[in-house]
Amino acid sequence: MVFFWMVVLLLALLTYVILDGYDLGIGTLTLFERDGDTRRGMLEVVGNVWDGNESWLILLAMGLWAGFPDAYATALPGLYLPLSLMLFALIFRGFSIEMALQRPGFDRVWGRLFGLGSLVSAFAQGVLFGGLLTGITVVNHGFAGRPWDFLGHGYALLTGCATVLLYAWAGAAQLQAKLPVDERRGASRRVRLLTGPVVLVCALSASLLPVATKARLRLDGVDRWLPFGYALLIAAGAFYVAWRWAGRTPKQVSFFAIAAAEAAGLLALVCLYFPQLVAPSVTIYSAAAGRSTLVFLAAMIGIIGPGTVAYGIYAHWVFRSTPPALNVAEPPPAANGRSALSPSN
Amino acid sequence: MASTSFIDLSRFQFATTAAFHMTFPALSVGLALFLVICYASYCKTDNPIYLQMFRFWRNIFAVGFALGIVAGIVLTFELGLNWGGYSRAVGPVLGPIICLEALTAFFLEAAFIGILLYGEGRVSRKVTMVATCLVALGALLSTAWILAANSWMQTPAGYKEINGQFQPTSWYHVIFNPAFVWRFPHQVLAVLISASWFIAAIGAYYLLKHRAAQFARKTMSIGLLAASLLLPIQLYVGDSTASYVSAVYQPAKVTAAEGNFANGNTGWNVIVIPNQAKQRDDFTLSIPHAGSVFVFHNFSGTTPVPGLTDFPKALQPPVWPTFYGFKLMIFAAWGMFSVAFIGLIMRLRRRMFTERWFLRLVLWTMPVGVFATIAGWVVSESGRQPWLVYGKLLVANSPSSLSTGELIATLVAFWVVYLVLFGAWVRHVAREVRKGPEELPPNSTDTASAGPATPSPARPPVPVGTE
Repeated sequence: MVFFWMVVLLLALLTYVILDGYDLGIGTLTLFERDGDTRRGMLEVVGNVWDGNESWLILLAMGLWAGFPDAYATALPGLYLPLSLMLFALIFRGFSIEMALQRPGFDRVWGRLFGLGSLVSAFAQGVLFGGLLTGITVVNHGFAGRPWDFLGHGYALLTGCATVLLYAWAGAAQLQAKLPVDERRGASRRVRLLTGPVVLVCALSASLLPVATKARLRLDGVDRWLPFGYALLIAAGAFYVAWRWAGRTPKQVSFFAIAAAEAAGLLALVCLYFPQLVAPSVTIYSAAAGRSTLVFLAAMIGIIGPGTVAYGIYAHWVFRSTPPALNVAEPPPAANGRSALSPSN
Repeated sequence: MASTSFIDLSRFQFATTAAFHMTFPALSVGLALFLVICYASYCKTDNPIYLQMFRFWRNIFAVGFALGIVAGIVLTFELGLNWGGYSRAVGPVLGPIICLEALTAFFLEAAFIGILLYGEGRVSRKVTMVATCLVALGALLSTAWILAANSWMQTPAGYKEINGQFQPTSWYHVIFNPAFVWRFPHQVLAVLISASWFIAAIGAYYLLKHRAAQFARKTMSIGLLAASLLLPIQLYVGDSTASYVSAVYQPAKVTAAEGNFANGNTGWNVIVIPNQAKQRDDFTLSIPHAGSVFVFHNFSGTTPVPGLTDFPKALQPPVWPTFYGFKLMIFAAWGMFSVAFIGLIMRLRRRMFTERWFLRLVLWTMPVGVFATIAGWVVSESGRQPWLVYGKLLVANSPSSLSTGELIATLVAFWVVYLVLFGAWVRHVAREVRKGPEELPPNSTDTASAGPATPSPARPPVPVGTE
């Protein structure tokens, strides 16, 4: 039961990183896009999906609270500052995108705030993930460290930068498929451009982790080193594929490759950390709620989960192609072959 | 254990962020249902005025809904950030309920709000209708789960305590705890009334300005009709909530809401200046005998209302917020009831849309419903003090070990951010209202069922509803 719920939470985390990762990345990229129409297009790509993507963050947080209350009650106070920063940035971002979309064209104030909010959210998420990886001091079921412990002598800043770059990379890969056809070239160029820096910071973060962390990292036993090895191979392969397919059809390959790389990275970390949840002292077994709670959660996921995923996919499918220009002042160019204004059913 | 001032700061932070959050669901749950009514009427009658209403309110709904979501995310994290002790203790019971909220409500709303807001021209009318209904359903489900979780803190049931944690034994009793059964309808009615009042007031604004007459009449008519139907029910449900939940399970809450320290007062206090340190009221203004009528429904007016001195000083809720929250809620409800009643009479005499003093009255009372809803939450939460889980877990045992600096920094940041956002939201609503419904074409792109759509002109020349 404990293991089952851990897998559910890991899947929620992965889904969140893949989905909100790309929309935070697109938000960050609006800061570097000069063309007004393209920026507007980017906002619209995010506008349809952001709240659905952020629902995974709530599920993740509440799933952690329900299934592993001790972890929730120690990790959150331990990561107080970066988490609060993330919340403020997410608030601004969510509000400003709706405000920006209510107005025609690219709204300077709200559009900028949206980009900045996305950048800061991504950075804060990287920082708090780094803080979690380096370890949190826990005494008697409560956080017992100092406010700035999460920095881990600066390691968290590195993971913060890594996350910003990774998300921007995923965002660019998603834009390749979602923007109007004639505006996709810039996105493809960004995918290729970002590959190098992403590989660099990810490799640097990974190699510094053993030095920076207070956790007990283990690779003994075939059940740890074999999946770990596979994960590294998959990640390396996925990085290559994402780079190679930038700007080629089918458009979605780069994005799925990046998602695979993120999954592989998470798998590698699980191999190293299991069963530590809030390293080094809180494990999934010491933090787990009672059996009655876990059974209830499993039943709930089993019954409601599939429906949730099904209509989530439907909602993405409705907006699978270029967004319609209902909120834009002028109609989209007629040359746009797959115009969204053609009926979708 | 944390110091009192630290706890008060944490409490203040949670209270203000929760009140800010509550403002938006108080409107958007009702607005979501109103959108359902508008679109359903449009589908049924093909009258473009309903599509215009749908589009106009959708623009106002969208931003408030987004604010509600992000402010709600803050609350879910705040539980763990500031109240580590609490979240460890109640996680096994309340965590799954909020998980259920995320799974059944948030995902549902999030998936279909995109179709509701941006789906026109991509999907058929039927799909838009279904999406609108599902968003409203999600909002109602969300209310239900939150009320279940909060009511469990008021009247905990179906659990046992193991190692300082509450472990559920019966999920049925956890969810359908005694308080939930009354508080859920009470809250649903409250948010529906708040939204109807808001809607009616905007309608009144256009009537006063002689703009969009057809739109304004329909809007005000539906809003005020809903309010006048729901308010009598709410007065009954609210009274039952107070006398059943609070009087039976939380006598201290009712006592604080009535504002008596000493026993023996049969009157109903309208104004008190409580002095909790000395355990007496420095000033009271009360209506004689009304206390026993309102509290005990004893029409002879002779049953005295109990006083707070029945409870140990350390276990008394604070009188200031509980008393005045309660009075504000009651007076707001009575006030709206009276206005709605006058409206009903005027409607029968066919003067509701023309009598300017009445339109002004409705316009100026626009936020009263929201105030009443928030005041109600102040009563239920401050009246539960000093307990977090009533009778089981004290607030004093619940905060995380944080530095005061961290707490103050985030408190200030929340206030700044929320004031800015609230200002921006008010400006947005004001702007949309001033721009008016006339520019929202009811004739443009609702055509996915009828073959390829032609893009709508940006500024259509057909203002419907202006005379």
